[in-house]
Amino acid sequence: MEFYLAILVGLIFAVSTYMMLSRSVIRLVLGVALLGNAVNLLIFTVGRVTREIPPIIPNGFKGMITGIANPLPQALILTAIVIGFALFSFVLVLTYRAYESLGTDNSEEMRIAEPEDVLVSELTY
Amino acid sequence: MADPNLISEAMRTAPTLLGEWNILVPMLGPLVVAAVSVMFRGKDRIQFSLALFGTLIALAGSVSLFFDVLFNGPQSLTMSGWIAPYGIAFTADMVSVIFAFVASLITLLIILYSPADIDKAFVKSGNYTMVLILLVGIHGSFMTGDIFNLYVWFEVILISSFGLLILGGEKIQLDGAVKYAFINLLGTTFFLIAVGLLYGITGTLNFADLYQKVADSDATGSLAILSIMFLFAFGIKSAAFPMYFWLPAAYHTPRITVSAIFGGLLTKVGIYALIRIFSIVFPDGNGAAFEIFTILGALTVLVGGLGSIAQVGLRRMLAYVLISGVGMLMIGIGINTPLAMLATIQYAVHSMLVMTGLYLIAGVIGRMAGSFEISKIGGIVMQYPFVAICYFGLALAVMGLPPFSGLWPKLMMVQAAFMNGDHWLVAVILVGSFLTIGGVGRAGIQMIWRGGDIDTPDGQYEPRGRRLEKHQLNIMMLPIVIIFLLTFLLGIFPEFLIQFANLAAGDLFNTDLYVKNTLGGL
Repeated sequence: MEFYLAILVGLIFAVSTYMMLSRSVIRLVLGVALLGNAVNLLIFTVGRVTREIPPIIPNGFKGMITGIANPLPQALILTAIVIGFALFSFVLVLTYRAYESLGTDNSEEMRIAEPEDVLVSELTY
Repeated sequence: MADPNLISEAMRTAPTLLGEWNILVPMLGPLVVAAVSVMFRGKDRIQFSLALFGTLIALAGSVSLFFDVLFNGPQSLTMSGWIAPYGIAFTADMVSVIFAFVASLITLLIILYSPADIDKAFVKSGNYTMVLILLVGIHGSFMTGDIFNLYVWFEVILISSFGLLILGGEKIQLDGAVKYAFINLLGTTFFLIAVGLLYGITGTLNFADLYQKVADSDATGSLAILSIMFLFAFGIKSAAFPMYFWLPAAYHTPRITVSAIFGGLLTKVGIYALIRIFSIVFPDGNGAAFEIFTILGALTVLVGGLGSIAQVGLRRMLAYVLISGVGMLMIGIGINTPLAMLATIQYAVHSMLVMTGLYLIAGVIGRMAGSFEISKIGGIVMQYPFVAICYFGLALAVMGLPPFSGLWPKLMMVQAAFMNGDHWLVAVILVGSFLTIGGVGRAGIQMIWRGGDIDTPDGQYEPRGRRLEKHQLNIMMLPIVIIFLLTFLLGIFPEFLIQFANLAAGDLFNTDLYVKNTLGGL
């Protein structure tokens, strides 16, 4: 099972890398979102995939029985999903605002902070 | 009924003493105050006082933790009463507390400067709240003893720095923020990938536990690749060559207080993470990591120096000076001897102070001249001789010239490189310093000695700027003078800092103490 999941993770990484190589900021956003999901799946896979026995000590036992599902990667993924969602929504709004006021979603044309020929850095306030 | 023997293997049965909570004060203090300050939205005086209060708590917490670590060795506390590898541990050693103290001090100085630079609208948008949260994230990164927790603190830093960067919403800021946001998001995601894979190999996330598991692991090939992934992730964070392009694209766009806090603290958090990971998780570099450190560091020093000569904007020039300093720190980590580590920690403290001071004084000069373009600034020495003296002192400090604090760490770095037989590194360090003299010195000569704009003939004096109000200038100059005096005193009495940096370097090479304190058994 880990083998197939590893291939799937690699595939998503490849797709997101391809998306992030684009000059269009929209594709960049989608690439970042895919990357976040690939990482979550990666953490899930490296925690070893086992049958769905919950990690609870049964009555009368002094420790875990073997073959339980690993709870730690799930806690990590949950944290990563929450953080990833917050940052993704920020980046989405940032992209929209940048498109609104800069009039482009092409990263090559975003040259206000680093002008190509005009060597000016005027005080903006 | 649970077996008490089993519980005492995983849970701590002794109560937590009051003194042990000290390690959380620098994080929880500003966090609580930040939450309170959200309630006073729009009341700028109260928010300012709260920010000052929160930073003072963090400063007091880090000072008392400093003495705790100085007298009693590394301090550790694991959350929720778990015993170390099971719960999230916070461990502070000498390196953490030195970085934490300087970070609190710098934030305090920047908050003192803020009323002269930040409008009411900015305060309403949450400037002070976000500065406090940024400080929480920075302290968390310095104190944490858990690699996934380090990732979480990096995200705390990231989201508050995004907020600070776009405060005001100018076109130039949105442009800079797009580049800053995506590359830094990518950097932390790479860090998360590396953490996930490291967990897959070792089955643990605790630094102290990782120290033992990585040393025992036979997956040396995978670990070597992982060490390079960490180098890449934190290389993006600390703006090392060739991952630095986002920094000069973004750091000159926000308000100068934001630039100062970013320039002083954020890159150093990346450097701290590199020091931590490569002293405890990969202490022998696992392959070629340390050689890559020196090579990247050398290139960063040279690129930063050359960039600082090429720039025409004051703030962008400072961004490249900052990059050059990061390169110096990378070289120190790469040499990896106790002397080099001592120099690295001392240089980090020096760089945090001086870069903040330079950004703040750039704010004063920019306001006077109405421009950050070096060719449009002039006559500073005639109009404000005191400002000129402060710039001159901070410039000497960042170049590494006496009598300021930059001399000693560079001297020790050169000595460490000689002792290690890396003669080419000595050449790089000296050439890098020379290039910085070119950048900062040229800007200083033009802005301070020339009478006015770039075409002003010799001997004439026609400054184009406006005079600052006395009151505003005083507020702005106070933190700068404090930094000036600190860097001067650290240059005259270097042994004061060296003794603590020496202890910190000792902690980094004597990891057993850190491990025993986190995992127990001391």
